[in-house]
Amino acid sequence: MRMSLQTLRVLEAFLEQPAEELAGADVQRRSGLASGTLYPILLRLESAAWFVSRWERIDPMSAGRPRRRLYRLTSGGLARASAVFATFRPGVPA
Amino acid sequence: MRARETRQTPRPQAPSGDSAPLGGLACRLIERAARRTPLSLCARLEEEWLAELAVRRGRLARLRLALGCLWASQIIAHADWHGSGAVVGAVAGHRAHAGYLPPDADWVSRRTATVLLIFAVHAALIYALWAGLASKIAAVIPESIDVTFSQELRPHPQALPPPTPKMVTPQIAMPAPQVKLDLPADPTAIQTFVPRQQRAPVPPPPPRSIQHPEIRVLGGPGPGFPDSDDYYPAFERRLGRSGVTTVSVCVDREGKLTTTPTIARSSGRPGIDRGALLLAEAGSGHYRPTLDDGRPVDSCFDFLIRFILRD
Repeated sequence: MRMSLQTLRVLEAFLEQPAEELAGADVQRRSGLASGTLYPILLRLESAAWFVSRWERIDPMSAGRPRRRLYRLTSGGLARASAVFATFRPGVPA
Repeated sequence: MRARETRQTPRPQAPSGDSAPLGGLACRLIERAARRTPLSLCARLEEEWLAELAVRRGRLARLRLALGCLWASQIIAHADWHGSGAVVGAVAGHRAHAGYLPPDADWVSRRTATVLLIFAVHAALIYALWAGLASKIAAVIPESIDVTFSQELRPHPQALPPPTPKMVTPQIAMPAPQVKLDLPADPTAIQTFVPRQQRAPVPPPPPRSIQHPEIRVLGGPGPGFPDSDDYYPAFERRLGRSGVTTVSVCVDREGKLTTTPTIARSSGRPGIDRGALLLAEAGSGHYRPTLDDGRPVDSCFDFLIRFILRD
């Protein structure tokens, strides 16, 4: 897995609360990436089994909006992401 | 022919009002973008992006999202998914479509198309020059150009020295002054000037009571305070982020912390703030205490910690 700066930002957005499920807009807000950059990264990480995704369980009629796709770190993805950030020089945990 | 997933959710409607034209345009762009992606991802991405579009506020934000999706579809369409076809199927939730089906236009890559286009343009230019464009250009250009120089018949004026400036002193007729003096009869009489009212001397202002004001010099990081570079958060450094955090500390007269430092003003980056707190804690014993009239006292104060990247 190629770790670009943008990929690291996406992982960082998830590592703030690893158990949390995030929609694309949430990840975009946390990482500051443009949608054109974000979605290919999400798909790439998901195809590599770092993420899993599912559709939001809402009633679109009552919610007044369509269901969103939610992404979550897998346990393997969490371990690998933590290992990636641990390769940085030991210092203040980010 | 592409099979589309049956949507269970209503498609977001184009917003009403003045944003309708751009909202409809954004929807169309997203649909177009999704159609460019591989078949196994097409329906999912279209629904996902339209759902994101529905929660965006503002015309420009929606248009920006749509253009971003268009760009993302280009990347996704040309990404190397070939080795992970099954994963792509799982991603899309279409395990039946585990085999990767390239989009229709993928028989030639973008790079190949660009190279072919360059070759085609060059070939067209070469053919045009060979077929007669060059001869037509040559026919337009005359073979010889006659140039005649017309000589000026007017004699060339000899260079004359610049005229010397002549200084003329103006003659000004001044009338003779007529002064008439009325002298006193006795020229020895001396007139003395007596002021009408002698000013009273202004009394000097009363001396102010000199009070020594209390001079307070706030404390701060003193000698031996740790270097901020040693506490620069590794992750923030890797991402090239800088930040300034205002930290509030309480320090005794010996420069040691009396309470745990707190963030007075965040830098906006949690990592930067944590690094600043660690640096502030590590600096205990190296603070310069606050001075009241030159005497060190216990006090609390704020100071800035900057994490700035240097080349």
